[in-house]
Amino acid sequence: MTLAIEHLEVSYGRLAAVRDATVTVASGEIVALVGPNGAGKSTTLLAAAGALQPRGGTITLDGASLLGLSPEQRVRRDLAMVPEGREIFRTLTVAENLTVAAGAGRAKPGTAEVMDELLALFPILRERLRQPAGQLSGGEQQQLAIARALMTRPRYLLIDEPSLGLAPLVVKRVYEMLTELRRRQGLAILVVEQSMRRVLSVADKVCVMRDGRVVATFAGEDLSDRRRLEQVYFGLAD
Amino acid sequence: MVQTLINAISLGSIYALVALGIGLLFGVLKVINFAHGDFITIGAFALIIPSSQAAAEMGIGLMPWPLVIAGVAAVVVLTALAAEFLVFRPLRGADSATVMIASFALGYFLQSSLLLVFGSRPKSVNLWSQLNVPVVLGGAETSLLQIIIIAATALLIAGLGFLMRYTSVGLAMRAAAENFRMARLVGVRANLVIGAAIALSGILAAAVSLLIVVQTGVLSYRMGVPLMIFGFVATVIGGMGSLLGSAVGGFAVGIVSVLAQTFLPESARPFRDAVVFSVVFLVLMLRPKGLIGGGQRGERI
Ligand SMILES: Nc1ncnc2c1ncn2[C@@H]1O[C@H](COP(=O)(O)OP(=O)(O)O)[C@@H](O)[C@H]1O
Ligand SMILES: [Mg+2]
Repeated sequence: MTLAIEHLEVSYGRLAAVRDATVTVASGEIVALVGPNGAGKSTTLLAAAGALQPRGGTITLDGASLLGLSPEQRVRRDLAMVPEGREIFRTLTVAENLTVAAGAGRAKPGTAEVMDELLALFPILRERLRQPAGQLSGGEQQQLAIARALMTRPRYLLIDEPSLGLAPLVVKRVYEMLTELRRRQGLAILVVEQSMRRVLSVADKVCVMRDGRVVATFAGEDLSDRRRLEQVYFGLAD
Repeated sequence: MVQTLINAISLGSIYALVALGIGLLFGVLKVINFAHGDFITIGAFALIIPSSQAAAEMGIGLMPWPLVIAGVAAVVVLTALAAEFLVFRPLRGADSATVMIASFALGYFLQSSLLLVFGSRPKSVNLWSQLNVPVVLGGAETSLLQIIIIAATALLIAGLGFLMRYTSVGLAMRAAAENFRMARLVGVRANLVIGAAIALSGILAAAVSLLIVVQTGVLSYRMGVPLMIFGFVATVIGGMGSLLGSAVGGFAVGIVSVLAQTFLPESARPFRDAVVFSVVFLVLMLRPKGLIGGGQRGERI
């Protein structure tokens, strides 16, 4: 049970944003994709979710190729995404943001239960159900974006810079939720961050991306060698 | 005075329906469908038996009124869905300008087809002419038809509002109108939403077909063109991408138009449309995003 992105290449017109990215996420794993601004992390996630068409490479879920499937079809294969900047539907209410994701997913039974479960996990959203989502604070919006993705009941969650623009305490809370979700539902998570520091404590595996390439992947023991990780991140070593 | 007001609101109703049809599809596709006026023309011609004879012979138009409505709506919705399958869907992912030009081409294609089948001469038809009876309302004389136009429009707008607000396809359309890519990323089916929007715009076009034919009694293969222009203008001044804006814009254009017609001196009447467009220009100068403009992101699939 794996989401495998292998030798991915994605371009915007002439610009080759991703040249060679390989990242695999096994079920129940938290994998971090880190790298400086412009490295191609968001592009990689968008291609995995089906919002961009890759020029080369493969993307498979449990062995079956996802290439050629639309984003909405990938949602039905249990892949969900929280994009950079959260992109909640600002003109819809909090409840509508959640419902639209539930109604759109495959007609899974027990939508009401999922909603209840999620509102228990994100109590602040319950208080704001009838408010336009645009009125939420940044931290609340991030929680809504995560809850919205979870409404589709994914097995794999792609999440792009969840800490962006949030206060440190709020970031801590968001990461606690992600680990909690992994523990409770065996959710596999591919999280993108610019900074290595944030993800080291939660990730089973860290992939470092630079100039469109995943240049190194660290797991297990290697993750504790911070100095080496930093050297790779800053391009001082391979 | 009341009479002028009723005239203004009933003309505004027609424009509001046209603008809503344009606005619905714009919401999800971010493209103005310039063939929308020709959808209206198709609906009008659906009433009669295809022939190039000068005298029109009623076909669908002879049926009991609920069937006339259903028949015309079916023809226009099928035309709209065919346009989606044959024109818009193959161009998914193309840039807005390309799709817009394609919709122009589609409009010309529909006009030419009508010209080929029905000939170029306008045909007079007699649909529900008993509705043109005068009625007295609040001391002013108006016609039953004006009242029906206003009532039908109110009903359609209410129905559309209900659908957008309380149904899952309406919710999906609102999400897609705000951020199409994100809507797809939470599983909203792009084709379903666009299909629903164009089918609904077809229903609104069909309503306009019927109201216009009853009012004017004339069919012509370019009858939808002026409606399209005013409806488009209404969509723009209302604020692109806001359905409320489209409706408000439609009423505004209708009202300004009737006021200009009523209060301009006799010699200036031919410039009525110029006055309307000057007002439009002024509105856009003062509020570049339209009367109800704002918040929408112009993002496309
Ligand atoms: N929509 C776009 N159009 C053109 N170029 C883009 C677009 N999005 C990103 N890029 C470019 O692609 C490269 C990778 O961007 P991105 O994937 O957003 O990097 P990251 O998420 O790692 O910061 C950058 O050079 C960026 O400028
Ligand atoms: Mg990014």
